[in-house]
Amino acid sequence: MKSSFSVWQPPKASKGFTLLEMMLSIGVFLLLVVSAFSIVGATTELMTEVSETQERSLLRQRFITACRNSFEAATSKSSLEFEYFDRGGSVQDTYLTLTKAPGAFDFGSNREDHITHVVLASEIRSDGLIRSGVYYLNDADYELAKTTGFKDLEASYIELVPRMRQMTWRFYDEQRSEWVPTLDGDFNAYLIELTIQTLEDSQPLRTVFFCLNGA
Amino acid sequence: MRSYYQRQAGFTLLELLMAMGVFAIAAVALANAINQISLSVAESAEEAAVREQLRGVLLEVTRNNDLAEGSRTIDNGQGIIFQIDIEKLNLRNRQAETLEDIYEVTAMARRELGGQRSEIVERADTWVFKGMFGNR
Repeated sequence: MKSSFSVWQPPKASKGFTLLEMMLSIGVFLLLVVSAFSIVGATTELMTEVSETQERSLLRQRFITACRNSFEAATSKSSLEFEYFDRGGSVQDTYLTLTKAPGAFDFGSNREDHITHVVLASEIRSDGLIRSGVYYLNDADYELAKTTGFKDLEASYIELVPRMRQMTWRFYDEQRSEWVPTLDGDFNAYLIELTIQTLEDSQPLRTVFFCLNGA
Repeated sequence: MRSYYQRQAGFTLLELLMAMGVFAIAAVALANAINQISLSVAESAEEAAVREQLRGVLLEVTRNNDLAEGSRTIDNGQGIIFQIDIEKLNLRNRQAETLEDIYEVTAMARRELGGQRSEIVERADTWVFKGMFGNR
């Protein structure tokens, strides 16, 4: 006869996990978490880089477009002057002035009438890089600036590109059929060449503007 | 008879390998996609730069007073060659008179791929009336 009582027995070993199984599963879990994090991290980093690249490209493009629009905005009363000063840096500071060109670098605003000179400056910074911006001057300020070499100007200024490796102007001399670095000699330059390389650009970019009325 | 669950207490090596394989394929595909994004962004930035230079070259050629038929190439020193073709157009008005001094200017930016091979990056063309910006 079978007894109705039974002695308590511990549960079978197979009901839980062994230490090895636990360690393996934790290991696999850790591996997955680490790889997921590294993928997310890499993606974020890449996206930041992508947006920075686009931003830089856009900044350069906006600068070139602003220059093009300004040269094309020159009227028959406009004129173009080019000043350059050696300040002991590796390159000279240059000042390209558009006189009586109402639409030049106005960025859609209606400029006050007494601002007759718009100066596109390329100045060397203390760290050896170049910054470019626009000064808005009236007649008196412009004359003063020319005598002081555009130093310590107290005028409205808009910075366009803060850091550049290169910003060089050249002008096409039709008489001699060649590009020359200055407007000295009083010739009419209808074609203006700009070569720029921002801090992040791997190579300089050359572009040409047409300024029929600016000469 | 042993039940199904008893047999499946763990994963076999084959199952583990398959799971890892699927994960690896997915990870590689993802990495590839990310890489593709960065490549295409770099390419579009370069194309924008080439387009800007092409615009400059086209302007330089068309606004010049000595516009004449022919071909010329300009090397920008960065692996891009700009080829400019200027052809005279034979246009007539309604009175069947030939319209003089109208040229078609085609500018092409080619990237050298080594050897004799090259690919066209950008292309632009325009019509120019020679007298329009001349006589100044």
